[in-house]
Amino acid sequence: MAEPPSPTHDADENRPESDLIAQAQNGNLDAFNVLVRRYQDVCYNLAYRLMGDETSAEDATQEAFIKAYQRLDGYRGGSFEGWLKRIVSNTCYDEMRRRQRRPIVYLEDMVAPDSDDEAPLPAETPTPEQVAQTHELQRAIARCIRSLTLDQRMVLVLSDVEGLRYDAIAEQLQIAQGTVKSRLSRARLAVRRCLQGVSELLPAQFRLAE
Amino acid sequence: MTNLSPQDFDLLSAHLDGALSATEAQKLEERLAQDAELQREWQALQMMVGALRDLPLRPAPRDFSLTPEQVGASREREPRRIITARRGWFGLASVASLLVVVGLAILINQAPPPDEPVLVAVAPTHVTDTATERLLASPTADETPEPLMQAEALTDDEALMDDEALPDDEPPIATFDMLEDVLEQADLSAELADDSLDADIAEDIAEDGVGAMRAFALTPDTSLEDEDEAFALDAVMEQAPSIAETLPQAVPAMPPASAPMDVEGDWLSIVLQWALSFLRGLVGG
Repeated sequence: MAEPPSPTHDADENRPESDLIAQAQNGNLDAFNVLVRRYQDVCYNLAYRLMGDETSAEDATQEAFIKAYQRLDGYRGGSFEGWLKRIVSNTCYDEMRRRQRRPIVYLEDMVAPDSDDEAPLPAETPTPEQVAQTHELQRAIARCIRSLTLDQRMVLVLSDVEGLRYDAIAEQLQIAQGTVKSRLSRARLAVRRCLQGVSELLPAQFRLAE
Repeated sequence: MTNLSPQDFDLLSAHLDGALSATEAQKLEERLAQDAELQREWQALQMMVGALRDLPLRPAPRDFSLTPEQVGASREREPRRIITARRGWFGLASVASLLVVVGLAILINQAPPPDEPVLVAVAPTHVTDTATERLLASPTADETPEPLMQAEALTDDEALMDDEALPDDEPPIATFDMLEDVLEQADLSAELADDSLDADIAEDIAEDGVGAMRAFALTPDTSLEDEDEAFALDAVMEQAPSIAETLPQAVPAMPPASAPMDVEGDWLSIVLQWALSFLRGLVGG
C-alpha cells in the first residue's frame, strides 16, 4: 500500500507522538525524523555527559538514532523518550567499553565559562556569590568525574543527571538495585573526595577539614 | 580529609535517595543532629548532587535526522557470517539436521515399509529449498498443490514402495546402517568439540531427527558470538567435508534403474546435490 503524501514539515512537527511512532514502525523515515528532532537535544545531552566530548557524543547519538529506527518493532509503548535514552546510554556504554579509555574531554566542558546561555539559573533568584559558587562547583564536579570508573559514571549520570530511580537504572544496566545503590554511593564519594582537592573556590562545605 | 567512613557515606547517599527504611532514616537523622562532621558531609552531598542535577542542557550541535542512505548503510555494516547462529547450537543443529535429511532420503530410497509415510512427509516439509520444490514436483507425485499432500502421495506411490525393483543379488546401497553411519559422523564431530554442552546437544540432535529438523526451521538468523562455541562448531565443520565426500559415492552405486528407481534416483540426487552445496557453503564460508 502506498504511503500517504507527506504533510508539510510544520504539520509533521505537530503530529501526535503515537501517530509518528506508528508510521515510523511502518518504515516511514520522515515520521521517525520528526521524533529525532523532537528528542535529539536530550539524547545528545545524555550522550555528551556520558562520553565527555562532542565528537564522541555526536557519533553515539547518531548511532543510537539509527539503532532506534532499526529496532522500532521492539518499542512496546511507554515513554518513547525513555526508550530512546536507554538506547543512547547503551550505545555510549558499549562504545566506552570498546575503547577502554577515559573520555578525552570531560564533563567540565559542559559548563562552558564563556557561554552565558548555558549558565545555570536557579528558579529562586540567587545572590551573585551563590551563582558563582554553583557555577564553580559544577565545573569542579565535571573535572572530578574523570576519576570515576565507567560503571560508576554510568550510574552517577543516570541517577544524578538524568534523575532515574534505582529500579530504572538497574533495569537499564541489567544489574541489581543493591549494586546501583552501592555503586552510586562509591561514585558520589569519589567525586566528593575529588572536590576536597579543588575546594578553594567552593562553598565552605567542600573545603578541606582541618 | 573527611573522616567519614564509606559506610556512613553509604547511609547519607541512600538517605538522599530515600532508600533507607523509616527506622534507618530516623537513626541517621538523630546522628545528624548531634554530629557536626556528619552534618557537614550531608550538606556537601546534597549540594553536589544538586549541582549535578542542575547541569545545563547541552543542545544538539546539529540535526540528527536520518537519511535513507544512513539507514541503508548502517544495515550493510551489520556483521554477517556464513554461520550466523546463536551460541553454535544452530550450527550444530543445521549440520545434524542436514545429515538427517540426507539419511532420510537414503532411507526412502531403500523403500521403507508402506506404513511409514509420516517419516517421509516430515523431512521435505521442513526444508524450504528449491531442491525440495523440485523434489515435490517429481513425476511420481500427485498433482495435489499442497506440499505435504504431495509428499504423502509420493510415499504412497506403489512403484516407489516396490521392493521388487531392487535386484536381489545386489546389496542395498542405502540402508539403516548407512543412516546410522551418517549420524555417527555427527556424534563424532560433536565429540571433537571441546565443549561438552554442545556435544550433548549434537548427540541429542543426531538422535532425534525430527527435533533437529524443527530446530533447523525454528532457529533463524542469529549471531554466533561465543568463541568457544564457534570452536565447537568449527570442529563439526571440519568433519563436514569428509561426510560430504562420502555422499556422492552412493549415487553412482545406485542399482540399475528400473523405471521407478529412475524417479527415485533423481529424488535422491536432488537431495544429495542440495546437501553437498549446503555443506560446501558452510565449509567454504
